[in-house]
Amino acid sequence: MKRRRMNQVPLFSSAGELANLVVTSNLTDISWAMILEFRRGQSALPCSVQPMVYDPTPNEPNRTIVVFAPSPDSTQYALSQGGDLVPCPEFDFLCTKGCPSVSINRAALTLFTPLYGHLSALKNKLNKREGQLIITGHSLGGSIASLFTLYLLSSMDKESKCRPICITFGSPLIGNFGLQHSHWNSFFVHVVSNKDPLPTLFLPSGRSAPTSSHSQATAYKPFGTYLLCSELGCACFDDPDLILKILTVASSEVAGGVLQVVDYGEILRNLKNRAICKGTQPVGERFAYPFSDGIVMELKTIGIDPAKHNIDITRMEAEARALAKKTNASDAKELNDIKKYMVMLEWYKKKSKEANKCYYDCFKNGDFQRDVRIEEFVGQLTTYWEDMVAQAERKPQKEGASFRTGWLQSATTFRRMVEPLDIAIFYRDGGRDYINNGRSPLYKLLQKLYDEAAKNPPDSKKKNVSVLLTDDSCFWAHVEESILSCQSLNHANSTPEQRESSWKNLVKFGEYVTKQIENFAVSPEIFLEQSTFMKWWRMYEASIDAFRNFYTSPLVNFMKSHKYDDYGLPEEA
Amino acid sequence: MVVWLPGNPQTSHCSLPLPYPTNYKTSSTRPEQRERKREKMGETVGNRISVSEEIINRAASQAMRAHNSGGRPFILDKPRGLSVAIFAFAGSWLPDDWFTHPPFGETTMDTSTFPSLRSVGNDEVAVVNASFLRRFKAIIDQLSLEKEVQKVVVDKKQVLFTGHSWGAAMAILATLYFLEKGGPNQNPPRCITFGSPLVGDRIFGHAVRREKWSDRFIHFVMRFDIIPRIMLCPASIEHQQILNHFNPRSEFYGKPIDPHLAFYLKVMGSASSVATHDACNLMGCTNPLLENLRNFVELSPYRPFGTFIFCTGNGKLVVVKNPNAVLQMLFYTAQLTQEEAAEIAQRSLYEHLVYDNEVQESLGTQNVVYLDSLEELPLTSDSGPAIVNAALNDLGLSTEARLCLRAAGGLENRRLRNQAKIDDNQQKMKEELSKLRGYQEKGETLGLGYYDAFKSQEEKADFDANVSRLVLAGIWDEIIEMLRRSELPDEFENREELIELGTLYRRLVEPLDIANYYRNLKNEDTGTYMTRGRPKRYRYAQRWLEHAEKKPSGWRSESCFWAEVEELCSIKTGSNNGPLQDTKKQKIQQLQKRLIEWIHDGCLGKDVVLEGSTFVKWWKTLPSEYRSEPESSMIANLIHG
Repeated sequence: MKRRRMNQVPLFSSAGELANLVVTSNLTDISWAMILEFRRGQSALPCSVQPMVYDPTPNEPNRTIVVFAPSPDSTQYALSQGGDLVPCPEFDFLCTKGCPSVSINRAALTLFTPLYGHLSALKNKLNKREGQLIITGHSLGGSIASLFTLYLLSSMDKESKCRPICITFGSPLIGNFGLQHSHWNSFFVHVVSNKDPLPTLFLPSGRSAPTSSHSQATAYKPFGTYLLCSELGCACFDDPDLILKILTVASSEVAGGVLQVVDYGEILRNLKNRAICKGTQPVGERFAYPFSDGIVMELKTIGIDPAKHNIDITRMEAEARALAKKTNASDAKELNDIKKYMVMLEWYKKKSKEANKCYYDCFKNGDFQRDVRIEEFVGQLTTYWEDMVAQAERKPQKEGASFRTGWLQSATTFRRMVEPLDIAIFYRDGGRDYINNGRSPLYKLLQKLYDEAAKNPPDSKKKNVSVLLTDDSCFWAHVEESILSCQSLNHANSTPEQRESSWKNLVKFGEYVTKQIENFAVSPEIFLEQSTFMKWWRMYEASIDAFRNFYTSPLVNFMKSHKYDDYGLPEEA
Repeated sequence: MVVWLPGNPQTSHCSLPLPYPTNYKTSSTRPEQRERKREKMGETVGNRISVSEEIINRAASQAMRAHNSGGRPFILDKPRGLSVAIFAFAGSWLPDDWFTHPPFGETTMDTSTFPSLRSVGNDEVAVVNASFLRRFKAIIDQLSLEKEVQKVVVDKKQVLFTGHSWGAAMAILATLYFLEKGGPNQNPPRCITFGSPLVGDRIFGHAVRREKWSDRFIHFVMRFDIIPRIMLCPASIEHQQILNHFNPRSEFYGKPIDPHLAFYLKVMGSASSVATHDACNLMGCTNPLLENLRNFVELSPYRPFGTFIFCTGNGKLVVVKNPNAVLQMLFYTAQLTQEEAAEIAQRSLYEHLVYDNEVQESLGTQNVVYLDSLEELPLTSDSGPAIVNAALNDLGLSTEARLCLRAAGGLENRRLRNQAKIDDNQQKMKEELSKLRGYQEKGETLGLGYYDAFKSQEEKADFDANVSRLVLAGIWDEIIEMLRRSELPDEFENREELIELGTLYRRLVEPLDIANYYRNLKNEDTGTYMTRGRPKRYRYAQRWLEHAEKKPSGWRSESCFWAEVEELCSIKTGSNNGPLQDTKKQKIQQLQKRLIEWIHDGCLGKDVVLEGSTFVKWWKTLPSEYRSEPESSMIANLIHG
């Protein structure tokens, strides 16, 4: 055990440091102070739910604060509505692959829904602000603050100069969605005391969750950073599973019965003092491994005994190690590797052309593979793009979309270059109907993304056609299917119905190719003497002679008159 | 010889009506013990930092005395028998001399006076306290300092700058000023400070370490002294109170600060924010919240640099060089416990004024600990080497503090490992470069320059060159990314072999990137190569060379020759828009001039002037008014032989 650790890069747990930074930063102090100020002014309006906006002042010219602190009456009313999850299509912009529809806690929605119109106007107003924007709230007020922040983020563009942060105190869990792979996760800090029963109210082991069934209750997912605190100190965590576990433990330990009021002001004062003053941690305790012993120390500080509550420190260490390994520097290298593999494929294509063949056919026949390790490159490229797509899918829809536009162009080049090779293998091994039986989800998805994006700006045709990749990455699948149709047409045992259907398919294919040629969307390489396309043409031509003498079409004319010899050549001036 | 004497040197500089209890001094080591310890240790701290104890003591007493020198900016002391001249700078307690504007009173460094104080590749200028810089420039403008230093240099004496408190900041800037000016054979100046405030930011320290000047700076800091921490805190009422307490002209001079704890908590609260923020980074915090917090938390930009020697207050010295560790120690060593809070707050003022005695005493006992291998630091008070642990306990370093120090050591080791990894890659880089060199030479013998060959991408060799280009790009982009994230040692960009390799790489391979850019017509939808397309790896490499040669920015742009040619080609000659033609004419004449220089210096290949090259074809079409003599005939000569 010891030796294994010695050889590794040392890891540290910074949960305590980050928490100290938050509490000494004054962010939490200011937020809490504003909540108190709002409450003092609120006494006249017993049922108020609306937020209060504190605009920038001469002292703080860059700071706007929005406080959500519904009155105790409205909070009580909302809580009495129950803690089950209600599907909420307004928040579907948070959908990810793992969470196809968003549900929100009923109590929070009870307060949020009537405010929708008001918040929509507020959102438009704040969107144009520059500088710091603190959105804060206590208990259910914190839940609406979070919902409002999400709503605001969904309409904010990259150029926005508004820098939001949402700080909640003792707020219950809100919904079934996660933000773990999203940049948005960094906008939330939830302060939760281990003495506060409210945050765990809707968890299964909590005392009350009257209307919710178990399966629904466990669907709650924390997001953002939790600043968990006890009298001894605090620690920040952003791993949803760990947070859920800690909250569950806390909920079983909080003194039951009445909802006692927790004074976060007092808690913050104590925490700040502890950050500045020397800890009471008795120096002299066994302490050998910075990460594991450090995290045990941090968990104990917030009142959790990892051994007793079955928290897997080894797994946490492994995850932290994996995260630490992945750096931006290695990303830079990977990107250049990917470019390199594409250059290799380009070379394979060129080499094939010099031998008067299509790279599609060369690959199908296994030519030159000893020179160029095509399969390896294809494998690396596919893994890379699968990973990129997966990354985009884990993000909330809106964020995922802008992430993808950055690389869609390269992904399309990849698809046009590499998919023909997959098609070649498929038909070489006797496959039928590639598009329905053989096409991988990756290509389908990339194609879909491309089609969606291409609706707006047309593809610019700046390159000369001779180095062009065929636009439709499934072109060769259509060719192979048409060869099969020709065979069926010629086959002695075919029924007239089969012949008729094959002929129809061939006519359709002919129209398709004509259109491609007119748009300069196919590479001229398909007309090379030994290509599968030319093989098809010869079969087709023979079939026409045999079955439909004198049949003609634009493609037949184009092919018979050898117009393809001039296809893609620069026009004479 | 003492040039200026402010009174009896035997009396303490500290003429405060002492509000401090006298039992702080707890030096328990008796003389005989001192002797024994020194023998055991063998090497003294003076040997280790290569300044004798005698000189340090002398500097301490001069620094304290100069602090009250009444109007003179510095005093000069040439002690008999020592080959050193000590320049000790006067102090100041005027608020304007500490902070020009809230919150932190910083400004970017004046790079014409201090050209090295910036990061080279990342191209960020260091930040310095604006008041310090302004006052220092005023001293320089008086010329007397420069004259005196000249004399000392002629006498072949070591120049030593020193200062206490505010004077220490002047000593630091003076040292840097003369380090920047120093000739190659001149003995570089040294700097010893006592209770110095922080002067510059992270880049400031980075630049000093990159230039290998870090060892020239020794900073003594008492465990609780408030002044070395004061710059971590934004300008505030508490600041004023502290300065007034020390200022003999203030009505609050020497009086207890009221309330007695608030000023200390204020400074330590800010110090805590800075220390925890940096600790999160040292510990590799992956929580994205950290990034967003930067938008909301006002953090002081100032960071320590140089060798720090912490005085524990009971005769021990702890020497730390790692700047991140020093910052953590500035916070953690002064952390108070709730019981002794009031006492510590007072002590933080008192300790600022006792450097001469404390340093002299500690140097006498030679009870010194060097925190060099931070990654092996004992985490608890009962583990590890006893002497190290005793010192860490004397400084009051908790387990949390020790974890931060370990993380600081860990970062430094990670940087070294990254550098070693790059060194391992050097062979690979050289191999790829020699392949490309072969490609270039082959082109020359065949009469088709490699730029044009690469742009057409006809042959197998062109594809192979493209692969080599991408392999190299991968390695260099990784290096640049590490530099951007400060994941390499500070000295990295000052390594000759790196600058050389980078230059070689840039001159040979950048033309291929340019060819690729214009081959794919990226200029049409993205913009010119120089404005939108030039990869960072070339920008960085060019800046390294320009910095090493002390040349202005843009001087070494020979590797962009082809980009300029491509851009000039794309402007049609002879069309009727006057101003465009004029700038074009200027650019073309400039390019011809530089082309001759570059080919003459050997930093541009002969392939440029091969008969069929893009350049020559274009050059031949130039109307005569675009050419000027003698360049034109020189280029013609180059083309024909």
